Amino acid sequence: MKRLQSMISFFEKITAGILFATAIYIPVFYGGDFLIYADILWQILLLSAVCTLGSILMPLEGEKEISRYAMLVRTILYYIYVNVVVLGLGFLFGWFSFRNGLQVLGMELAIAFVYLVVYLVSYWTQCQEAKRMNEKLKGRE
Amino acid sequence: MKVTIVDIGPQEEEELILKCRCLDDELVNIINRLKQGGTKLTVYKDGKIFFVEPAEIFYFESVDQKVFAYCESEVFLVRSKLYELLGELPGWMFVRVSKSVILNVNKIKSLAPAFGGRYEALLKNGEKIIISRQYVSSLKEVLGV
Repeated sequence: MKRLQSMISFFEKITAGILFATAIYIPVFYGGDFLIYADILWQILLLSAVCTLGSILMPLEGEKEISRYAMLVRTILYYIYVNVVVLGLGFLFGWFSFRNGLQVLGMELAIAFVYLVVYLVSYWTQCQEAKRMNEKLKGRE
Repeated sequence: MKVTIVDIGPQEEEELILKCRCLDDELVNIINRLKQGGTKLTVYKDGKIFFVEPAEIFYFESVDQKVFAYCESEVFLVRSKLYELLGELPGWMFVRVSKSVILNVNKIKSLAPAFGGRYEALLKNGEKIIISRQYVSSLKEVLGV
């Protein structure tokens, strides 16, 4: 159940991140007046779902403890997974061409942006949790 | 261990007799606890026995099969395992925060997020303790979050 909740949370953050990245990517590479099909919405949702599947690499709260090094390795592995998925599906959907180096760079920047957004939102959530616990600690004094 | 309670007359003196084959650490702890009133914890330092209020202890840490109690500026040896201590200490005050540490929640000054879903507890004596992701839910439960 916890895993499902975590995956739903990941899905929400990734989808929001991809939407932002797409909103920047399309005007930059195809122009502000470029027409897109409704299919892209389903493509974004599918991409988010596949990226979310990789979140099983990340440990849940309450799960067996792993070292800082193992956590770092998992974070890197997840980043590689996201890269493979986004570049693979993005190519299949015709979002970019591997022949256009600038577009590939744009995709890489978009991936880094979404990854950073998801990380920052997760960190912010943790900060909020810490704030709630600190308030409870103050109440104990 | 068999426990036998015998009713005595109003004139008779109350007495506790302990029958054992050998006096191990567990029994010594029980005797010490009875001698000093029950609430204080028996700890050791430089071959001497001390009795410390649990509220004075910041945290317990298990290092190389030995458990130490860390007070504001002193460290004592404890002859109990961490899981035994968890059973003895008040649950609203002490919580396990990692495989090797039991923390006194009342001694936490503040909590901050750390890498990988962990939290870092800054204690009132300035020390920092990492709260493992595995035990964050226990801490939240004690704090009522």
